[in-house]
Parts: sequence; structure tokens; C-alpha cells
Amino acid sequence: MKHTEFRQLFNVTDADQEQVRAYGKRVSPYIDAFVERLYAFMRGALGEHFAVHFPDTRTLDRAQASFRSAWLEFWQARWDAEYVASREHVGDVHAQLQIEPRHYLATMAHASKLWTEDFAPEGLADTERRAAVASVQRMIAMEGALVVDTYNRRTQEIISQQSRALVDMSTPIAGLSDGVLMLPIVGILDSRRAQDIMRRMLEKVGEKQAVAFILDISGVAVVDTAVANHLIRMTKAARLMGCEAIVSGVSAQVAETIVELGIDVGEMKTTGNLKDALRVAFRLAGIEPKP
Amino acid sequence: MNGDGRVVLQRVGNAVLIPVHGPITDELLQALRRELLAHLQRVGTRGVVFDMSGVEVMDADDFARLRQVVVSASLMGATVLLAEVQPGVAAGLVLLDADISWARTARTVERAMEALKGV
Repeated sequence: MKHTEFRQLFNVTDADQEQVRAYGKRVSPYIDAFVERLYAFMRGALGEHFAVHFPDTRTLDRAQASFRSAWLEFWQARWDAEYVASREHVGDVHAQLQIEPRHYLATMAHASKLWTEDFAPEGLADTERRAAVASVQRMIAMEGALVVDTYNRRTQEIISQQSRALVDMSTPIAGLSDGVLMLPIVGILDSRRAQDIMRRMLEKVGEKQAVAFILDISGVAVVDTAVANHLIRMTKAARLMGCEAIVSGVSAQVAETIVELGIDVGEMKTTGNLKDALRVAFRLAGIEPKP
Repeated sequence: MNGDGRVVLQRVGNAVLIPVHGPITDELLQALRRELLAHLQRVGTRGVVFDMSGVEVMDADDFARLRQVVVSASLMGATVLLAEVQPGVAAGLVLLDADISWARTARTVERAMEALKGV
């Protein structure tokens, strides 16, 4: 379980939690003063970011209220699955609001200082105070690690979602008619993208039972040996599935390059323009084009 | 052809349809060749369709051995089509640079039957 893993990692024991609870009882009456001091700190430390994250008083009030209850919760020193889940939520929110981890951690460090120095309870023996402060600091560090961990994971998720979306966007496969699909390839065709395209293309061929697939390369920036080989592979794989791939949009320059590089295009069907490719594709699909 | 080594030959019109399932093993290929060639000799069918939809994994070696079955059937005058090859199999074979030039394919069994009408 995650909460036990973190406890072990930060060496937090039941005794620590007991310490934090006892310390919390003494300091939590100062919660309002604490919140005020901490926000004053953030206003100074975050600079222009402060205004970005708290654009109006309503947002600020809401943030302060949830901040206040989060700290009161902290002083109860529960470290169970439920509490961990609520801190993970904090991490999610920080990631969504794109609050920088350094700002979050600086705030936590300042909070730790406020609780253990500025609002330190009176009348505690030195040894007692030191033990309590050590426990408090460990639990604050543990909480900070959990939030940043979640923040990090959430950010990674956002990035991988975006790159998936980008891949999807870069392979807009269009169904032209029963059994005929088309994909315009635009930009640079490196081997990673070529594999993505091939995978998506073959999946679509299977799903739509396509018998002809037009790959339009008029938008491909550079056609060299590597790109030609990717195209040949795609054509071969499609043919294995019983689908004829036609490469259209072969410009004079591309044709020249292919010959100059001595690339054997084999049985790859190519056409100069999309119109010819469509004619071939429709014939393969058994559709007579209208005159 | 099934996991237990039994080969199912289905006569459809003047062609024969053979569903291929599971991993391609030597035993299965041998059984396939034996049954298919016996059938061709007995009935004289000219068109053969392998339904490959049940094959999820195939490497270049498997594919080369499948070729031998196809070649032996063509020696007896039959035309062999592979239908419904799965996307993963197609991508895998091409990335492994398997020789696929010999394979005649069709997207669906239906299309394969259609293509075999003339033979």
C-alpha cells in the first residue's frame, strides 16, 4: 500500500504520529494567524505567479479555506489510505493549475518554519520540543513528497495524452467509399511516425475491410531512402492483408530522387496525382467512377 | 486447421476454405499439406482460401514454411489465397523483412471467393 510505503520511506512511526497529534493540539489554535502569515509569504515569494494562481478574492478565499482545513487535518496525523488519497488530489489540483513544484515546496518549507519556530508552543522542555519538531518535519516532508510525486505522475499523464493526440492528429485516415481509405501524410516521416502510421493504417484496414488504401505523400517534406523504405513496408503490409496501397502525389522531384538513390520500389503502386490514385482505388474496390 | 492437428476443409462452391487457427507448428503445417494435397488430388479443386483470421502470431520462419504448403498446392494447379491476415501479423512480418512476394491475398474470405471465380 502506498501509505505504508511512504511511512517506511520517511521512517515515520506511530510514536511520530502521536508526537504530531500532541503538538498539533497546542499549535492549531493559531491556525488563522498561520494562514495569514503563510499567504503573506506566498505573495512575496511567488511574485507575479501569485496573481496568476489567485486572480480574485473569491479564488483566494476558497484556496485559503481549503488550505486551513488541510492543515487542521494534517495535525490529526492520520496517515491512512483516505488521507493519502486526499493529498493525491492536492497533487492533481496543483498539476492542473500548473503550480510549480518549487513554489509548492517553498511554501511547505515556510509552513514548517512557521509551525516549529514562530508558532512554537510555550512551556515545552527543550528535548521534548526537539523530538516533536523532528516528527513534525518528517511528516511535512512525507506529505510534500507525496504531493510532488502525484504532481509528477499527473504531468506525465498529461504529456502522454497529448502525444497520443498528436499521433492521432497526424494520421487522419478518411474513408472515401466502401473499401477505400485514404491518408494524407504531411511533414516528416521518421521511423517512429512511420510505425505509428502503419499500425493505425493496418488496424483501419482490418476494421473497415478496405481493399484499397491511398497514401498521399504530396505533403511529405523530404523523400529519401529511409522514407521510401517506410512506404514500401506499409504497402507490403497492406498487401498481406489483402489491401492494395497506392502511393499518390509523387512529384517530379521525388521521382527523380528515388531513381537517383537507386531505390527499388518493387511492386509498389504509385501515381503522380490523387485523381489517378482514386481511379485505381475505385477500380480495385469494384466501384465504377461516374463519368 | 486446429490446435489438435485436425484440418477442416470446407467446400464452398468450386473452392475450398481452410480456417487456420492458433500457433503455426510443424505438425499443423504437415497435416495441412497432407490433407490439402489429398483433397486436391481427389476432388481437383482449383481454388483454395486460407482463412488466417485465427492466427495472431507468425514469424518469418512460420511464413516461409506456409509458403511451401502454398507452392506445393500450386504445383497441383491450385490457386491459393490468404484471407483475413491480422494487422499485427502483417506489421510483424514486414518489420521482420519476411519475403512476402509469393503471397496472394484478399481482405475477406468473401473477396477471396470472388477472386477465385475465374480460376
